[in-house]
Amino acid sequence: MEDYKFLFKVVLVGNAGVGKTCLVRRFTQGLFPPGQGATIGVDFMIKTIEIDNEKIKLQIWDTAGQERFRSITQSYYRSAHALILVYDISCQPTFDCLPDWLREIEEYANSKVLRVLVGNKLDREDREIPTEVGEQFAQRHNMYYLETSAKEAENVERLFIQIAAELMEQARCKELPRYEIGSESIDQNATTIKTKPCCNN
Amino acid sequence: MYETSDLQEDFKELCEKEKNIEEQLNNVIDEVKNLEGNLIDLLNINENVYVLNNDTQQLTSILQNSSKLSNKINLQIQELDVARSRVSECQRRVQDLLDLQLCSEGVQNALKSDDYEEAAVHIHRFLAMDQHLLKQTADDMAQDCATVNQSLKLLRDAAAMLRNKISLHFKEAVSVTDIESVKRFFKLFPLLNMHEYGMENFSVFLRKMLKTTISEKLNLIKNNNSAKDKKNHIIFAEIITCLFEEIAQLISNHKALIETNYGVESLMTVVIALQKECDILNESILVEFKKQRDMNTRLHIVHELLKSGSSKTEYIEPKDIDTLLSEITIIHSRYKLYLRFIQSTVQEIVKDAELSKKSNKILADMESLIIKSDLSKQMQILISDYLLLERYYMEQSIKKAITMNSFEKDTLVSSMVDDIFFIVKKCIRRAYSSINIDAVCAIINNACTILETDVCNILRQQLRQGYSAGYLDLTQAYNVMIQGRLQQMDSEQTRVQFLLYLNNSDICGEYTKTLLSTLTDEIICSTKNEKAKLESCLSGFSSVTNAFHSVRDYGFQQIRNSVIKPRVVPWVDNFLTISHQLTFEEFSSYDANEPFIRSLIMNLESLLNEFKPRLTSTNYDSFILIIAEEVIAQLEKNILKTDFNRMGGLVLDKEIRTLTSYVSNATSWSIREKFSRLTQIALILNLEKVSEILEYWGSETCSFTWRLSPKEIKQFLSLRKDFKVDDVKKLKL
Repeated sequence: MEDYKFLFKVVLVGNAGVGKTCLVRRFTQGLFPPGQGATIGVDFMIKTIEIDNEKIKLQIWDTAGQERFRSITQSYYRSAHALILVYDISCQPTFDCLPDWLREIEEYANSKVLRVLVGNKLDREDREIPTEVGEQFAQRHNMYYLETSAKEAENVERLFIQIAAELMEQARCKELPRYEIGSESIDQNATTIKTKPCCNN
Repeated sequence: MYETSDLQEDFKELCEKEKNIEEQLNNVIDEVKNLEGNLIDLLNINENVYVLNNDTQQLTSILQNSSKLSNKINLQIQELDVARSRVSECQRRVQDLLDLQLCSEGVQNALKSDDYEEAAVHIHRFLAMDQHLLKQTADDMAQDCATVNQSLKLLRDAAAMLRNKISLHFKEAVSVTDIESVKRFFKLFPLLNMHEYGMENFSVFLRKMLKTTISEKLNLIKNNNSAKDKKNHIIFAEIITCLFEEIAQLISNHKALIETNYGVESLMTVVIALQKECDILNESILVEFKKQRDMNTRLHIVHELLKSGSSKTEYIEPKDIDTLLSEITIIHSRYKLYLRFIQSTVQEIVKDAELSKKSNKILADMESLIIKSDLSKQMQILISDYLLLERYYMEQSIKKAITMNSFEKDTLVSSMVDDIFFIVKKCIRRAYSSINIDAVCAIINNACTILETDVCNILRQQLRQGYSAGYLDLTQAYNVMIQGRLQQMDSEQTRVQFLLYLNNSDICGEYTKTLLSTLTDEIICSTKNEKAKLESCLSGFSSVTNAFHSVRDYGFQQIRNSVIKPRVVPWVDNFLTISHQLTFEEFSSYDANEPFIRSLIMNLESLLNEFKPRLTSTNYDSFILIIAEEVIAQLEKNILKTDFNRMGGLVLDKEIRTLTSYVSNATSWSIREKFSRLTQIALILNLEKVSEILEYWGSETCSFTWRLSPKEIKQFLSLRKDFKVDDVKKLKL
């Protein structure tokens, strides 16, 4: 059998062209493929990481952003442990669509799913959505927030590692329900990551 | 004055000097002799060197001469070469001039007799000539200039005329769809250096052929409105199939023709042109399909129904979209087969073209041709609509199966179990028939959702109502009397229902496992990535199995509390009514009758017989397991309340052995492990003296693992009233 202690499913959603595939490629293969074509249906990648000497297998589902693949991508929400909602900080429309995406998540995903809002393309000079705006939106909807650049490999590793760490923490809470593990931020240094107790859902 | 001795010494010295000088003189004389000999030798050599010098000078002059000679020859050869090439060029020009004459005559004749092939061959010959040089040659030769010029003009005119004529004839042939003529003139274009024109117009012709064939069929469907007819339930799948087949045929039929006359890469032009027409035709077919199949209305209603569970306007019977779903999967599977055909065609072109630079371009062309084509987009939208409808079909059919649930008298499970899994399997298989792994995965995901939430909830709801025991104990009977309601009839039905759903949960778990292994074998993926995707989605069925098991466990919890505990506890409590401090005579009579264990087993037997025919084999085994657990727990409690002597311990040991073997024989599961604590307790109570325990505890020869702690061992030892309390206390474990 494969050697891992935890298996988590992470699903990336968001408008077409915000860089979901690039984020996944950067994290799983360390690449930034320029001129990436639109994803068809869903793509599937696996990466095993290690946190606190525990092997964690991440199953990453990279979904197509285009409307016509919605019936395929929706079917993956329910079994997801974490959902990463991505927008492009240099493209207002991708931010404006976030409420629609949240409605979808509400409708199909497990209510306990870990939700992370990601503003991608931090490397772009022509930013349209200030950090505070994204941050506030995430806060209002009880999500973690992080800004990344798949191109410059900024915060990408951190994004996935922190999700894995948080999910591991949650899984441990479930294993030991009587122990009250204090609310712990997944990274004390990451100012944009809001603390959220892991046992209260 | 000098001494004599001094003089003598001087004399001696002088004598020695004289001697030395004499010797030196002799040496010099010898050398002179040698030198004389050498001088003679040198004189001899000098003579030889002179001769050699002469010879060398002679050789040098010879070599210089031959070098000059060879240079001369070389130059001559070069001149000869130039002369020869000039001659051959001259010959060619003369040939050209002669051919020019021939061609111009030939073309004229051929044109007169409408022999376009002949004319085109002549023009081709003419076009291969260097017309500028030709004219120059004619100028040089001066005398023939006029003729040549005339021929040239004539041929140019002829070429233009021939181009016009062939284009015209080609267009005519195209307009009347005279395939043979089209092919005839198509072959001639390359001879007239009209490759591009030829390919372009031939592609237009093929597009026209395709369009005519398909439009005709589509018009039939449009005008007759025949799609509604039941026997035409896959008429759109048929016409789409026809579209793809037609394209495949057009490509394979003309492949050789294009390859020979235009080169293999030109095939790409045709593939691209036909794809464009395919995009257009496919769209018009799908527009008609959506119109006649009421797709938009249906999608709208289904969307609403899925979202809110009810629609203000209408309801759609799942069976009414059954054939539609099949039709869509057929359409999509044909599209996939068509893609494969195009891919292999393009790969062949790349292989034959054998130029890596060009092949990259061709592959990129194919990429945009196929993946970004309108056809692909349309098909993606279609499959998306299909998935929505299929999800609705599955959900509604399962709801129906649940509402129409029924059972025969002697069956263990109700009809909904078979129905539900039939539906799930049918939907997944149908999705698979579309040859789209993403669609299969989505349906598998949806199936897991429905099974794990909707179906599990229904089962759990039924089990929540509990199993009313039927046998009332005193308190229950009292309560019933007080409350004044006796629901005997009612409770019999809920009991049947309860066991049915307990069995349903078990079989659902089993069916899910079977479904998983069936699908794992059945579904074949073409790439590693697809396989990984599928496996991950299929693993959803494992958590569905777990969900069904936890529903079943929930049901057994109810049975444990409402049936097993209330009945088993009083039976086991009889243990307390019997003394376990026996004399030898009492032991003998007890041993013969075994009143406690016999009545317990009798009671258990009747309980098991009551449930055995009403439970699935797994559930029956679980039932026995729970009974065993309850009997064991209660018995252990009662033992702690009982005083023993040696004979009493012996009796207990026998009782437990009988019980263990009875229960073990009743079930197919290995259950002895559950009895190990009891067996060890009996062992302790059956010892002759306290110290005997040390033969088992901490002894290497002990054949079992202790399930009792030292504290517990002492506790049980102290039940033996014939053991001294101190002995037990002092025991070091």
